[in-house]
Amino acid sequence: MQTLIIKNLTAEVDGKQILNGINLEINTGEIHALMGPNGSGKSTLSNVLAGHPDYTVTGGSVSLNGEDLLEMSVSKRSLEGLFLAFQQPMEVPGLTIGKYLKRIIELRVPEGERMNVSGFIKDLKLNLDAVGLDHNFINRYLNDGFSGGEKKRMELIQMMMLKPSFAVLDEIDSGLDIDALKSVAVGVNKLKGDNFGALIITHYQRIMENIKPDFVHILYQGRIVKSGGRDLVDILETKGYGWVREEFNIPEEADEYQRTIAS
Amino acid sequence: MEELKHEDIMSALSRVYDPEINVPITDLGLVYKVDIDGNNVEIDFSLTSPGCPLADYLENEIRTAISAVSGVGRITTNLVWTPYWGPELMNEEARLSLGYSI
Repeated sequence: MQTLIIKNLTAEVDGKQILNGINLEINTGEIHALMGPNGSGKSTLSNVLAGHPDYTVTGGSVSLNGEDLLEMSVSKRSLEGLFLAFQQPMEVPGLTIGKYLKRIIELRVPEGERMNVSGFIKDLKLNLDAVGLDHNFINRYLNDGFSGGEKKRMELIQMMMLKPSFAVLDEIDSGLDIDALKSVAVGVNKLKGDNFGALIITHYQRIMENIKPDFVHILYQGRIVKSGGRDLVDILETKGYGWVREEFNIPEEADEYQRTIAS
Repeated sequence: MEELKHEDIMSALSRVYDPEINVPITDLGLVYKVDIDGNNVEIDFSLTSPGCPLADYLENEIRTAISAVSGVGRITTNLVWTPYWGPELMNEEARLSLGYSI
């Protein structure tokens, strides 16, 4: 079993503190959902985990299998098994998806071994089928001219090919129609198992119908204010985030303030 | 003694890489012919361009790879230029590696 442990994590961007002490432990084999309103710090958390240079960690720790994640370079984090699906992936005209994916897999082949390219192509085609993308995507330039749904599916394809230990899916469901949403769920559920853990960041309940999380956390003003099982999703569905504010006696002004500085 | 198999020779050749692009010569379609006569093996191979400076290097690599197959006797290598090599001779693996459509 592998572990990703976040302890008392605080972080700021542009001198404004967004994360106010996050505590979260994810093991492989578990699917966690992190929900929260706009400006609660969801994307900040994913950016900090991935090592985005605009975000400064001001306190706390993150360890991946006992090693200090925050000390690792971005590429090292990836090679160690952490994956982040971008909200808005970059377009790279001139680089075919086939060549790109082959390269990122090749980087993970142990020294002295050669990559099995024909097996790779077979896997890639199966994964494209699974998320409902045509095989011709192999020849297209990475994200170049892709629709929103195609970009998200492409992020999923990368995840399925890399088979990370931990995937952080930052609003992978935003802007997706029902079919695309189902494809995302197929991708996650395909990897689901003892060697895979995921943190699904979202503010929609809809994706939870297809990806059944084991744990649900509510992020509010940079803190996880409540953790529980899938029933939390239903409570949020009926009561909204206002319920969280009332339950934890958070003044509404503070909420607005947080939203302003986070946006 | 066991008979030499075509596939064993091809498998050995698949471990010979064009060092400039790091793709096996078999995937590139540079091996034109493998003839087996008893213990003796004859190979026709080509290069991606006539000016390619790798002729001696690749020939050497091909010989080394084949001589490692058990039961191989005499090895003959012929560098040939017909047909002239083109990207259409590459298989899917090589095409993907080099960014060609598959």
